[in-house]
Amino acid sequence: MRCREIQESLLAGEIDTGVDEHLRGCASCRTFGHELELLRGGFRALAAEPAPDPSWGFASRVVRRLQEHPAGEEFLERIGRRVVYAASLLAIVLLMALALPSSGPFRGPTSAEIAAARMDQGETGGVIFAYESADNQDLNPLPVDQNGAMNGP
Amino acid sequence: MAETAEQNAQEVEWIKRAQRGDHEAFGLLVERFQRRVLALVFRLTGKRDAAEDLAQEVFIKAYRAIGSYSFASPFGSWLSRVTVNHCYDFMRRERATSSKLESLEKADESRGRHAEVALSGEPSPEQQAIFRDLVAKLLARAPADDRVVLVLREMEGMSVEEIAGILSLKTATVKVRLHRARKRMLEDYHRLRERSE
Repeated sequence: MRCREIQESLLAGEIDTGVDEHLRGCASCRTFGHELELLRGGFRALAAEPAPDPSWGFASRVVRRLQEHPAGEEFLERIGRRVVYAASLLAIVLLMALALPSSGPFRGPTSAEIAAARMDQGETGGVIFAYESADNQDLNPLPVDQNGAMNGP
Repeated sequence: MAETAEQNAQEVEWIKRAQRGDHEAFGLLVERFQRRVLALVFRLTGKRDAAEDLAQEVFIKAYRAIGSYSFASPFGSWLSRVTVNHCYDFMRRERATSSKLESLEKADESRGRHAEVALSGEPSPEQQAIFRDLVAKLLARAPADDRVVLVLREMEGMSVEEIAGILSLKTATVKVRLHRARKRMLEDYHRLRERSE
């Protein structure tokens, strides 16, 4: 058997005659086995250490805590907390969506950009656009000359 | 034998009453299992000071979940499962918050002491104490998964089947985890030794 297999067997705690035989002739695997045994001894010593005793009135304190905080109350508290977290997260996402400028390859041009482009191309010929009236917002722009006079149809 | 049967009948009655919301009956169950839970919490976390608070939280969780206990396994095993799960969460939180440096510094304190022990023959009581401290430190550095299987197997003396029952795993998975945990611990021990040489 090779050292690797032997060490795997030692790790699994399987020590048969083949392993024993190999250990007699292989110092490296003997050291491996010895170290493993020392660690196991450490575990045993650690397990033998006395665990702490519950302090006086431990059970009564548990019962008191149960009476002070009924299950339903804790459930509501937990659910309530989750609702608050979810609402906060949603608010942050909405705020970010509103606050950040739209960008990316798929957004359409803004009205300011369209107007600027038209100005650049001289389409308006010195005429700016306004809406017919505030009451009748049918969104049909009427050209207005620079003196404020509308040039409607 | 008759005493055990009587004890079990009493236990079943307390559980049923606790399932109906009887706090006092649950208190009797706490009294019966408090030492066992506290010991398991202490061994899993290695924290003497925090053990009692954690044990209290385990019992509160157990009470909240007692309705799901179906008597399919002993109540003690079910309670151990609740304990292990709670300690798992605690260890993960601890590991996330505590600085790794701190545990390395602590491990450094025992440098030079364990290096000279490794290759000698039968360990003396003093050497055993050194290895007890070393194992405690290696356990503190180990991932929660490794720690749980090692404590249940090497310190609580549970069988692979019992561990599988508590962790809701297949026995083959527990064997693999145990094997891997021992290997990692030994590698960690070697790393510490190399640094000290």
